[in-house]
Amino acid sequence: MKNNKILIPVFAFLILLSSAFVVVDPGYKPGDKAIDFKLKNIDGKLVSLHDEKYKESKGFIIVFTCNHCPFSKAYENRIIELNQKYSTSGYPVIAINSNNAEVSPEDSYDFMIKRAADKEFKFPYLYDESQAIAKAYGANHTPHVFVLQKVGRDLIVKYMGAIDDNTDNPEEVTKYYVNDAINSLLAGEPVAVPSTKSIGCTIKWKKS
Amino acid sequence: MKRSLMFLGLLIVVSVNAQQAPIIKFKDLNSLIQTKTDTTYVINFWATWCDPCVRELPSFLQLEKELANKKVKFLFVSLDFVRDYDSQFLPFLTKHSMNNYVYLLDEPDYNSWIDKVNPHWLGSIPTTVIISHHPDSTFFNEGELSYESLSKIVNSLIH
Repeated sequence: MKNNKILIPVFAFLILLSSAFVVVDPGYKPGDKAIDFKLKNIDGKLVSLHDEKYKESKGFIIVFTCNHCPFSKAYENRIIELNQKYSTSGYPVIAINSNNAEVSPEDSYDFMIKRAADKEFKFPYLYDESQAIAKAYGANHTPHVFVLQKVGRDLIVKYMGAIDDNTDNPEEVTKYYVNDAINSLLAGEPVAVPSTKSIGCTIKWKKS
Repeated sequence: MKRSLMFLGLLIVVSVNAQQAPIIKFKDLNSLIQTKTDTTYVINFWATWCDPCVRELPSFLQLEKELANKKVKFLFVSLDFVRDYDSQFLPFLTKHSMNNYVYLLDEPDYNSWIDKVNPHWLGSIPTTVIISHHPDSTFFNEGELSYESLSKIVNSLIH
């Protein structure tokens, strides 16, 4: 009984505290319809998933990434490989940087242009300046991948999460989550692992 | 002779440091989380390269010092890469005088253990989990914590 007296305020406090951290919209889950966007590419032009250029695409590999994060950097070559491998079979990479440049100066638009040139990105690297797309998708950290499949005019989330199971060492990867998901989609089969979790740099939200 | 002595000296330094900040696997961390004691554990997932993690560290270290005689342990679980252990991780610990309960978690298949720490964890760091038994309660926060919020919650959970 004595314990209960202490417990009640503790739990009340916990509930109060946890409610302060509740994310109102957690973003997408596999099977959800994803929104299209019009975001500025590093060449200054706006890119949308419904652009004429993507008319023949079967879907997209959307990668929320950035310039500064060591985990993003560790995956850059693998993102380039994914685009090489799958853009011709209908799943091009679209990279998006949603970090606020005031909070993370290295992730500014100018540095995006530089990073893309240094790494010779052959895919769009878009600036989600308002962070609305990261919020809508529920991107939480970088890199965070969403594989979308076109179904009519809709874009359906078929896989979300990590690229593979070893950030540090590409030689020791045993599970290629994104490759597996796209291979299944190309074969007309369901995606066996539709979502995974991974560690990454938190998206640098604009300070309110 | 001189060279081998120097080498021996280096080995001793390395092993002392390694003892202070061991490389662990998830099962080591998990057994600690699962062990029911009257000690409250504040587990902070961080990395030397993570700016918000580094920003909140002083609050954790300050509170750790203030509560040194209480039944609470602060565990600093780094997600730095093992290859950066000597070049980046140990120098950081020295610079920030982090001597106790610092670990480097060598478990690259993140998807295999994130949910076991807490199903609410989406994967960004810093993330802090506070575990208290008798009664069982867990506090989880993904993101930076201020000294005030951390102090409030820890003090409410220690015996």
